[in-house]
Amino acid sequence: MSDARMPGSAVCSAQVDLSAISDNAAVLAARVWPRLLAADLAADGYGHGAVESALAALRGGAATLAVSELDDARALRDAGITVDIVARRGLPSTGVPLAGQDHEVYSAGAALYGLVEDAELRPAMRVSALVVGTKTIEAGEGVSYGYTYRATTRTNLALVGIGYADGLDRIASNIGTLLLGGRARTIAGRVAMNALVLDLGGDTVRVGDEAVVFGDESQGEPTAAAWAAAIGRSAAEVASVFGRHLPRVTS
Amino acid sequence: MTGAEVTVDLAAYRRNLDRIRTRVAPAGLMAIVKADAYGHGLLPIARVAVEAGVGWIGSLDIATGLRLREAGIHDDVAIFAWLLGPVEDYAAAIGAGIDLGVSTADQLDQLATAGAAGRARVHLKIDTGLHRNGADAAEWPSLVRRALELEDRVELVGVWTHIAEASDAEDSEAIEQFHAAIAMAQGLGAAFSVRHLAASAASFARADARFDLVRVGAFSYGISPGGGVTAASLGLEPVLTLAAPVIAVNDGLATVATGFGDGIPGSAAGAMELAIGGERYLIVSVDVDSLEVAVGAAPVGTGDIAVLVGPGTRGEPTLQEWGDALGTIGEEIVTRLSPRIPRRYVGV
Repeated sequence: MSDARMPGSAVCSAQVDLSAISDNAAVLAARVWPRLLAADLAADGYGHGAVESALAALRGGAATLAVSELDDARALRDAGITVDIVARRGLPSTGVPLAGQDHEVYSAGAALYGLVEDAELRPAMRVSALVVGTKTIEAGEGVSYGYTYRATTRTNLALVGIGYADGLDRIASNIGTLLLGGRARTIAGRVAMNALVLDLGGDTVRVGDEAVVFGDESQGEPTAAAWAAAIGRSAAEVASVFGRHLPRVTS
Repeated sequence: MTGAEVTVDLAAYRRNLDRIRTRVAPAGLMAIVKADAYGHGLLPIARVAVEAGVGWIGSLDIATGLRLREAGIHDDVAIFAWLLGPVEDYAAAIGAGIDLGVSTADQLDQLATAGAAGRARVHLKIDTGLHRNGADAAEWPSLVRRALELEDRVELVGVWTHIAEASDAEDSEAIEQFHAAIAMAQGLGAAFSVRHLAASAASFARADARFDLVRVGAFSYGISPGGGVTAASLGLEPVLTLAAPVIAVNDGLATVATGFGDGIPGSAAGAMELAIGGERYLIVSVDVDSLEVAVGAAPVGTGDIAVLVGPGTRGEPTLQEWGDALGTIGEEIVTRLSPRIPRRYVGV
């Protein structure tokens, strides 16, 4: 992304495509008709940004909005949103009919953000980070805390500026892969608080290259659902945690 | 209280700093405040460290360092940033007097050409086996030489490394490599006022790891090193408490107003307990903004406060219990918490 080349810009970010939220809202609104679609904005819109997500969902055909508690509605009102807003905390987050409306209302959370396996829905969030260092190690040398990874042969490594404090689960250590240089690269050793290491084998990359945790499947990138499944989490949780910690770039 | 709330005991943080300083003396302490001070809140924590007389703050990145300077932490306190992106605003960092942890000659060249008025304060990093960043043994002489060539733009302040804590023997080897790298640099004409290698665990365990300065994050927040060693056995106190109200009780299940959107790991379902009224109850499910706890016929009602993590004084689990139960470490539990949860500061 061009933003990543600006001085002082973040080495990791969550990029949110609001058109995906609008398009998903349109698909879901048609499916639940004649019930009305409520866009679930819990957890700051599952990490996508509550106000931006609300506006995008309303553009797509959502009729009402669901928030955790009515205090959360204030920012939406301040943004000029006048549709009905209901409090949803304590209700299941998938497909709940909400009472108290003139029409029956159906609430969509994970599906609205494209975080479920569904061919008609598109993921709205992409998470990536930049290579901040490279090195080559010899067979037998360890990587990161506790040396839980040891190279079996001479190999190239990329240090990427994203870690568990950014929302990348530490359980992904030695398991998860990121897309870098056109291929899935396995995390070598423990994910640290703000960085991880990828094993490149014989390939090389450069400082500043982008490693993708998940993003747009049509561009050959792994999906949030695939990332989440690989580490035994739900995609809704993964997106919520990343979105609340990473700098967000909205388009 | 309508949702989750984090309480941060600044007096406990201050006592931990004092305990660490006593332990590591005569080495100095760098208080690490990366990741929003491990989820405790950057500025309140940094201010306590400064008031306590800590002379070094580790900010991780330049942006955080600049925030600290803008918040009124002046250059009598050194701020150290070491996660450097491909393109950084080095002129701003140098102007704000932020110390920079440098691994490559390319980074030195970027500093030198940043157009800053003053000299960049630099700590050169040697890789002693962790293999994240730092120059390897082959690159080290050229990194040192480049820094010396650029001495009108670069002030050599420190030399540093990071150890893996895989085993005492491997850490000893890393310490030996660090000594060798320092000797080699001195042979090339470099002089360093601070040498630093140890983080929390090594700073307590090994005098030979302390050098001039230790970089301590986890222990300052009372987060234990794991491996069966408790924070209390080291004289350290947990600083953070997380609580949320019960908002409904139905059929033996209490609904608590916090969930994975606040950073509660979904994997806590079936694996972790929380405390209500001093009693422990199992978390059975975690949703985006709520979780359910099996309370059976216990006298739990709406408005009761559920304590998820804390020092244990109200029966709640500690960070160590969370880390052990979920196969991770306390650092991940606290840094995962949403920055949007209100933080309340006590013990000021």
